[in-house]
Amino acid sequence: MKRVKVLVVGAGVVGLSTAVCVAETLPYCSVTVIAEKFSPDTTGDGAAGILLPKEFPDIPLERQKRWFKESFDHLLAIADSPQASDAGVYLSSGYQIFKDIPSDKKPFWSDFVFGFRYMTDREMKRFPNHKFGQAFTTIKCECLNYLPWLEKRFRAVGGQIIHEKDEEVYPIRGQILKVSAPWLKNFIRDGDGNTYIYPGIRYVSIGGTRQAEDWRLEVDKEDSEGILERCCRLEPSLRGAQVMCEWVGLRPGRANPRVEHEYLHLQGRQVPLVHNYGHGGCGVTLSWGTALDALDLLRQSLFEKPPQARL
Amino acid sequence: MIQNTQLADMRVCIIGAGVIGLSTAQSIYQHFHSRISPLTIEVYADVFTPLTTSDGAAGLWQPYLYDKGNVQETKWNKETFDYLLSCLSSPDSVKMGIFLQSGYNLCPEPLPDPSFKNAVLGFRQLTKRELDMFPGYSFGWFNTALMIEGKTYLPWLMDWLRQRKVKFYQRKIGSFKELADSGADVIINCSGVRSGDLQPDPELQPARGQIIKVDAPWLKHWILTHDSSSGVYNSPYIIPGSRLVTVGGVFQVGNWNLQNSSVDHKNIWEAACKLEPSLQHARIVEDWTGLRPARSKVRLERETIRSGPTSFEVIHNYGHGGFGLTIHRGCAEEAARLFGQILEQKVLLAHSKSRL
Repeated sequence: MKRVKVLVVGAGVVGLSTAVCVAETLPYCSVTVIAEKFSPDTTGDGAAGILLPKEFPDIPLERQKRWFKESFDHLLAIADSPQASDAGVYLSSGYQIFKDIPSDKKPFWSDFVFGFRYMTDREMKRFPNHKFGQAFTTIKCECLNYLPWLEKRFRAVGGQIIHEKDEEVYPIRGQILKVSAPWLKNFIRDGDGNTYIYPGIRYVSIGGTRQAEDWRLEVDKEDSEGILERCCRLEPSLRGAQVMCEWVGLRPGRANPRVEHEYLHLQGRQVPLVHNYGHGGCGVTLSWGTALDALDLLRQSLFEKPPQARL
Repeated sequence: MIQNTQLADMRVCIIGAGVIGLSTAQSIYQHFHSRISPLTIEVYADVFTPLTTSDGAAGLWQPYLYDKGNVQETKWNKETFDYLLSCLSSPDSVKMGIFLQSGYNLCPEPLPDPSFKNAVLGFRQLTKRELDMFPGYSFGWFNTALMIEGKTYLPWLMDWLRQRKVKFYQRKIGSFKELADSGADVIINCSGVRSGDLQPDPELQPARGQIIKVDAPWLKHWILTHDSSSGVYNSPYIIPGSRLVTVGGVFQVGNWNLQNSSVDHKNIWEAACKLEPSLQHARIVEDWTGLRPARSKVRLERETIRSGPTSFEVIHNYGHGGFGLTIHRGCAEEAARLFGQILEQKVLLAHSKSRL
């Protein structure tokens, strides 16, 4: 049987996850990943990788739940296995705190993380400027380890890789600092998304910023000062921590992630094109679930009749 | 109330420089240095940090599951937790070796709530999904507790004491009398597992523990397992520290052997890897053996010892088993309270003598 050629554009966490899903599930497909940037230069490589979704306005809730649950379960199986340290995937517990009580105290993903509960009064005492908090255990997936691990898996089933420039999306600039503070074990995130402390394998990521349409990849010193000030207020022990380096990433911003398929008319043929991009700050969080969704769309488009080409 | 003018020149000699000895020195200084002048505090020990039992412990604040009626101990444990929690926000917290860490207590069958459920933060039962991660365990709890690393805390305490003119002497004390004869007014016995050398105590026994220190920085939770048939700490535990992860455990009562055992190493390692598969890829750094000062309950009380025509006061503060770091502050404060009682009696004695 003639093999179907599938091209995956992008080798970040979503691209590689999609490529692995297709290559491992559809033996009649030969998959090639084409990208400009590979680990350690993708956006995900700098991200802390904490699995924590946000609610998108235009995507049915059931679909968003499925995206997150499938990503979580997939990574949990890795965290629970001997591969955990190779893949850079492990459990992380912590707090999300709010200066004002949010309208949605129990978000849709609360059932999928572990042990979701509201913080007790004693726990809130540490954060006098915050009125409400949630405590839970989720997963942390460090792309610096995970992407090479995924690539190995991809190549093991015959996947191919090509280095070439790809498309651009509108950026949401984010800056973080990597600090040495190995005594920190629990994450703390302000519900406004702008201040967070995520303890990692060899360093703690503290952040952050959310600057739409900002393409600057250079470190901004004022941003660093702001981050340090806000994070030290939440976690005083950070005052003595050594800053290892600063990093800037451009989140692929979009109102909603685009996971859908269409047909391109190319050289007299209808070629299926599956989109799986625009995950904003939820790339790692939704990587596997949207990859599985993209796989489904690919399967559909390979077996259904494409619309008649307009002449 | 004791006034400055009534008591001068008190000399307090503390035997032992583990967490119990040093924290007792601290509490006595804090409560009495402004009330007694001069107050001389001396610490005598044959081993200091990093060679004490406290230095090898993983440093997780957690008492045994049940206090068996020793409600005082539950109170002292909670007092210690609250004290350490208050230190967290101080600029010294990192230098003290204190930080928060969450984790799992796993049991093979349902058990009553533990003594520490109200002391720790966010105590709750484990959900079924969480228990699915740990085959063989069908019940358990999750909470956030404190870590207090002896290797950091003890040097911090010694610095704190040195700045306040407490003196340290490296010397094995042969008997209480030896110190009393040299002029000690009060002796505080914090000699841990070797208290029996100073005064026989059949209730005190070593409970040997061996641990393996590994490099596994992706682990961010402590995991303790409980097995009522094998007994406390004779079941695997994994406790990440600020640099390395401590893997245990054994609890061998009556075993004085300070050498690492390869049999224990193998058993500990196999059980821990079953509990946490990712450990298989961790780099093993070293083994360590320590002797917990096990006793049916902590001995924290006064004793007046006659020596010929005179007598001297001893405060015993030993027998903290595997929970020395967990209970240290509560016991130190209680020892300071007992010290206060001794002072009251001396004041009364001085009064009655002056009336003759």
